[in-house]
Amino acid sequence: MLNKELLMKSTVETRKDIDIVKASFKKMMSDKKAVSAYIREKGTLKGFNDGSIQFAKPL
Amino acid sequence: MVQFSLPSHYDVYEEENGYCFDTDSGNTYYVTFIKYPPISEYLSVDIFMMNIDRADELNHLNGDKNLVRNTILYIIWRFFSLHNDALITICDIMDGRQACRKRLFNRWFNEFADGELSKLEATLSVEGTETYASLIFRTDINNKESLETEFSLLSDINFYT
Repeated sequence: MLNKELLMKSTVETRKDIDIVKASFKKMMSDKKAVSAYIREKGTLKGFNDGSIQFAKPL
Repeated sequence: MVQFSLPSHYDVYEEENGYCFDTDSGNTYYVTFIKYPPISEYLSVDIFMMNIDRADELNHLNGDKNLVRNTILYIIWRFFSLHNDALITICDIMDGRQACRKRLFNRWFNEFADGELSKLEATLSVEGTETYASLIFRTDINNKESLETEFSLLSDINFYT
């Protein structure tokens, strides 16, 4: 019984992890599309403002 | 230290939210990095997604001397000379040329990486369209094996759908 409960718990946690991963990649794709669409429309990156996107300048 | 042996490239300058460079053909390339935290057990390092966009999508002239290629590779080299994080790229699906982009980037990478950088690849489906993701990292990264396992897990669950 204990093993079954542990297995169920593990399965639920794995499912939760998978959902988190998928949500993360959906966000990545959405960010990518938003940036590309802005550049295509405006011809520049200036003025792009989306607080949910964490741009970095790692160079 | 990752070496860079392609001396000739366009000047890269900072702009709001990213970097850009201007080509001889009058186009401007924008290179952005978007930072994401580690994703659970599936990717346990900080990830930067690198995007490359052209101001004028209809201007495909890249000029001579492979300067666009060299500049993009220079940016990647610069990143890895400063960071030991992972870089993820996802091929754009907007014009259906994602397979061409993948082949082109693979060719560039294979000519340039010289064993110092490693790349993992996976296919993913975005809104029913197949595209390609690459995870690039320094070959000497401490957790290479776990990164490979984690990226494989991502591929197994199809990242996204």
